[in-house]
Amino acid sequence: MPGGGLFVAEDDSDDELLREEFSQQEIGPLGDPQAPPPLSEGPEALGDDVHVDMGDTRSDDDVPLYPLIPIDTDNEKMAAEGGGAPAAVAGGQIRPVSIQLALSLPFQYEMIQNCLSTDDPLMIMGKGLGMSAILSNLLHILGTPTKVGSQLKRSLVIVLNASDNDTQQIAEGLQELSWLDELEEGVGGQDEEDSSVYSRQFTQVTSESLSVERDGSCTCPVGVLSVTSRILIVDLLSGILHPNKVTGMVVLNVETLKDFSNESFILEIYRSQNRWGFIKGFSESPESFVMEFSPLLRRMRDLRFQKVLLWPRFRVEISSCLNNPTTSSNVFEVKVSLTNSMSQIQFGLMECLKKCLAELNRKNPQLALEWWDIDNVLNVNLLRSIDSVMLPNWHRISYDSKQLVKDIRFLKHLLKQIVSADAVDFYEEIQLSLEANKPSISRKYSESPWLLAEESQLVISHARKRIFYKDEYQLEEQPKWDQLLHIIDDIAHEKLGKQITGPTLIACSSTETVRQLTRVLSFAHKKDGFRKLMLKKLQYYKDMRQEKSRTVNEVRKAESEVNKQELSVSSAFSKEEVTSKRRRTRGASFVAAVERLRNAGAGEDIEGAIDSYDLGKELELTEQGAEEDEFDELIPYSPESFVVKPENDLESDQLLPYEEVFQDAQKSGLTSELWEERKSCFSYIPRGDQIIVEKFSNLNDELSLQEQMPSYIIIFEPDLSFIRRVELYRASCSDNPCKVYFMYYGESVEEQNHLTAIKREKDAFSKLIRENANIAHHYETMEDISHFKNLAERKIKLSKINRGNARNAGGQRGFQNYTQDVVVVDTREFNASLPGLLFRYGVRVVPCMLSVGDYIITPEICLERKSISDLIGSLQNNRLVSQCKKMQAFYKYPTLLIEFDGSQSFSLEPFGEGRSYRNQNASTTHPISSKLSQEEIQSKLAKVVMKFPRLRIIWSSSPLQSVNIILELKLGREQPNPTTAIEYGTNLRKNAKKDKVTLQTAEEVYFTELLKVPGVSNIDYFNLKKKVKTFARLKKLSMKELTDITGDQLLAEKVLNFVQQVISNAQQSEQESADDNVQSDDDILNL
Amino acid sequence: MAISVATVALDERTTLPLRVFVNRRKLASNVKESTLFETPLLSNNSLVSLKSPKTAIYLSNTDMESMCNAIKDDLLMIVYELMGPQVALSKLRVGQEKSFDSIYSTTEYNHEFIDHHIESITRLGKFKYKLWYKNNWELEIFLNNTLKLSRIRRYMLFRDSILHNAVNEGIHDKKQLLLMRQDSVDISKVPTENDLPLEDLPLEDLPSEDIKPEVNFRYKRMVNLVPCIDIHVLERPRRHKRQV
Repeated sequence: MPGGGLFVAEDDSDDELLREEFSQQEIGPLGDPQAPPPLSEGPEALGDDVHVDMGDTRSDDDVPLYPLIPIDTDNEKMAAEGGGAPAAVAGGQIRPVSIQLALSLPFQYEMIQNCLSTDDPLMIMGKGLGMSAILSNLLHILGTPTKVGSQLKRSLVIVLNASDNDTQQIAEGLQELSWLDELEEGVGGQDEEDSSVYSRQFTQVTSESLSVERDGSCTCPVGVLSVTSRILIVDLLSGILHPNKVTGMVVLNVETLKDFSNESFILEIYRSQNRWGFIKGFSESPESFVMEFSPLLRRMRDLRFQKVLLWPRFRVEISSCLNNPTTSSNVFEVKVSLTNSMSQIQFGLMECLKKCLAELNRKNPQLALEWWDIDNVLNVNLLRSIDSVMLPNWHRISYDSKQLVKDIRFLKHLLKQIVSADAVDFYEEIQLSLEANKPSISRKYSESPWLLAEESQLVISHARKRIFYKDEYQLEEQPKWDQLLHIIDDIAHEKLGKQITGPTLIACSSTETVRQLTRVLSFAHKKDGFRKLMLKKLQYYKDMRQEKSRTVNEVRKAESEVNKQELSVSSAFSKEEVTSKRRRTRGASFVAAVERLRNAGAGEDIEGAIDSYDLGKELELTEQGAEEDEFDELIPYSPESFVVKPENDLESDQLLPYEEVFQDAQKSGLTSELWEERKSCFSYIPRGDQIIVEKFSNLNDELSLQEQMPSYIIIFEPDLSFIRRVELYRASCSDNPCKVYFMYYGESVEEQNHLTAIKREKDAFSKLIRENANIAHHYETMEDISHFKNLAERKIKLSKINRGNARNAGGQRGFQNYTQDVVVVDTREFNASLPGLLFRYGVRVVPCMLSVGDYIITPEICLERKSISDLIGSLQNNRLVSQCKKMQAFYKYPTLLIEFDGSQSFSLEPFGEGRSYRNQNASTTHPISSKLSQEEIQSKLAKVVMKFPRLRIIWSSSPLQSVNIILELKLGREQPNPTTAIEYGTNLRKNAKKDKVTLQTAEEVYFTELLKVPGVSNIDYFNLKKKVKTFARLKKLSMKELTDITGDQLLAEKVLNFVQQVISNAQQSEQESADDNVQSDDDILNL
Repeated sequence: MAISVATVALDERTTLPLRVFVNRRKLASNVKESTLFETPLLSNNSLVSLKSPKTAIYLSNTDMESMCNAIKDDLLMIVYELMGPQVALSKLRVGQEKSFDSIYSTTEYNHEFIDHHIESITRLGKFKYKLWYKNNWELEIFLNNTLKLSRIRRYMLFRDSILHNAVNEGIHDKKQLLLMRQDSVDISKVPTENDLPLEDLPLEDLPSEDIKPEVNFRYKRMVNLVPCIDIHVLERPRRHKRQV
């Protein structure tokens, strides 16, 4: 071995074994590391003559001491032979290539140039400046195949962390560019080679596409490749793909990467082996780089970027291009003012928020940040910031504080709703919250704190006033609707006169708004259209409410029946609970006060009024005379419109029987008349007639605007990045500029939100510019990358131990045992950050498909890592037990590693709660529920421990701590052997198939199959299991006994049916086998 | 990028968007422009020079319309017939190319009144096919998701029956589409709120207001299906040469 290490014993048998193991794994291009490297490797190989020493520091001494990737005996040659040759070296070799780009704006061009000519840049740009176009063009350039001598070499560019949307856009962009390129080649009339060689093929490798594409293209990948990081990391570590084969890496959405992400792990491996390739990062969110302490620098170190390129919207190149004075005349700002009620509600909500925040700060003085005040209420990061502080301390803060956090979330939601949802929806939202907070016996003090603030009454009463005021239905319309209609009609008139080619595009923020607007527009031509619309909406609300109260009653009824049987004590209470819906609870005087407040003023309890009012009548009245559009009647309530009928869900569940019906019906023949009819229906819709309503997030790639080519754009709500898109779009088709209408509510949260968003981005950029100016330059040598330091530390520790042992064990043996640390890791474990961290601490991570355990750290110690949610899950479905069983069978120290997230609190308590808290929908979880689950977890864990007395449990607060624990455990112990680790699993599988499953666990299986019976919930299952224990006993139970146990006759019936079915099936199969025997006997007789 | 969307109505309340790409390989070959920027590509031994952008090429509205009408039969066949159980598309292996007639016409359901011009069919992936169309236009029609297409077919066939709720999941685009329709013209009508915008019209329109008829518009909602057909335009028919 060249450059043999200080601590590596040359003739270490253990290491030998390992190497052998590796050589088995290193299939394909790498070959056996011991053998001399083959001279030619497939189509991209080169002769040795191309290999030229790079001018810089590379020499034999620079080969890393402890390469953590499978060792190459000839690193240098690999570098030359892999993907493209390192750097432009020999002068004669440089060849000019001209590349066609497809970019519409000059500044995008400059961005690409900037990005190309910088080493390992991290590019941070303002929102909506056309990232995907830039990316696809850049990838096109970077993927340029090259020619060395007479040999063609193709490059391999890997795209990391790309979303599905990104990949699709890049694919389409590259396809477009490849067309251009083919054109180029054709015109140039160069060599008559197969032109496909020149194409930069784009492939996507994900876990889904794995089976198909990986066999074919991944063994010899070329072109641009978008890979999920989990797959790539395994391939890199197991040597399927060598870093030297990769021309470069492009990381998208850098802001989404967390610390110790797989991507940073990949880049680290890449850089440690490949010094010549490029790394480029992109992000569109400058705000996320200014949140913590010098996050920019940290992120850059983490991902090995060297320079930052900042492209804010206010950069001269961009603004000169976009701020075109001639076209700006076509932008109209439509400022709509809020109605009185709306602004009152808005004021009330803001005041409530202020109080909640103040209260939160007062209650948690140690945790609260100064930043949490009313000025930052509109900041999107407020909630995230509160979460990030509160969640790790969730078990320490009081119940009130938790409620406050929840309320702040809810209030912010209401603030958004007040401008976007209509009056009925808003009212429903408020009403729901009120109902959820009605005092009941089980939770006396869970009144949401915001309802205690005086201003909340303002909100509630005005929300009611918008619906019903002075014995009359107000049904306030959103002021924007009217304006929108005016604009649309304006446009329609304009289109009459002029020849206008493009459609009208209305952009808004959410799917709900999209539906709302389509409804508004389709009702617009009718007399009193809006009123009618609101009435229908109210009618729907009423129906839903009745439906809900009906189900609630049903549930209550069922519940009380159950309670009567199980807990006779509670029946007295439950009676009260039912009646307490309206009655005030005694003792809770402040609740009564709130109730009084709530009913004071204009806000009568209008629920009653809604109930009594005959909406149908008014609807009929207004509809008289007006001819109905039959179309509206046909599909107004189809699933994609605002009403989702409850029956639809049922139907989609029972899809299967329908499928059969379709299969039959599809066979109906086709006649020419039918065909003619279809042809007559078919028509092309001119673009000018279209009005498209779409939400921002679907328009936020620059392609969509170009695809639609709208002549009119109505921006219904302000959205920073969409406005940028429109700017780009206008700039790119300046010959035929579109008209833009920009609607917003004046003096509203909406306006303020928009302004702060702009300011925030600008601030973020100016901060970044400042940080970038002061950033310390960072140089590194090979030693920094080779984890040398870590290993040295380890050596010191080891020698300490050895000194202790020196007396009993002879001299050098301890050193001989010490090679490099090896941990065998299951390939499925690479989603976690632990393998990456291990690698960083100088451990060689060997990915294998393990059937037993997740991490094998010594031949005797096997770890099963469980995050908390994993733990709960596998406790529930008993997987943990089987995993432990396996571990115990093969390893001396089976170990369960329970790993918490660094940002969670290191205690089991807040689990159920913490998780449901994140989930907005389940806002009212009972505090008891989490405690139960905690007890459950504890008891289950205890059972596991009792069942497997040898099982060790390690509690670790974060992945970092896990690494330290693992390293401690490994000190002075032997290294694991991957071959045996893999074998263990497979043997077990075979054995298991042979005998165990059929005999011992057949009954278990039957029991668990109960879960699949529709109507048997998990709770029922657990109850049954608790009381009956085994299937054999369950078989013997009668109907009556079952009813007693389950407390529900229907359920008992289901269970009984299932049991009988199972028994009869078993008998049948027995009989069949018996019959078979008989028959075969007969056969023999016949013969 | 040169993608544009053509919307066709399958009947009076359902629309299907087609994404149209213009393949410039054959369409444009005469634009040559000067080099703007040169840089060595470090990981490569090349000196890269970038060319200035070409303007995107779109089909005009008239072209688009004529194309859609030209492939009317083919499109309807794709939507209604090709996904039916009698056409065994799945027998094609991935990557295999066959002449279209060998797949379609051998079935007992071959209908000669369908006037299609699809020459060949290639299977690209699990649910992906490429059809090659050649008549006046030369097109490649990509079926990106036959699963969705067959759902769309079912929806079109059974939409009016009670069953339709069961099938239409996943085939509606989130994007809503409304069609502008002109209502009847009547001057004597009592002004409704729809007429108000007339006041906002620019001044020069005002004098002619008494002559100009009042026009009401209605906006009709359409069921917009998801885009799952891409069309790559390879060749456009020549315009009629000028008669000498």
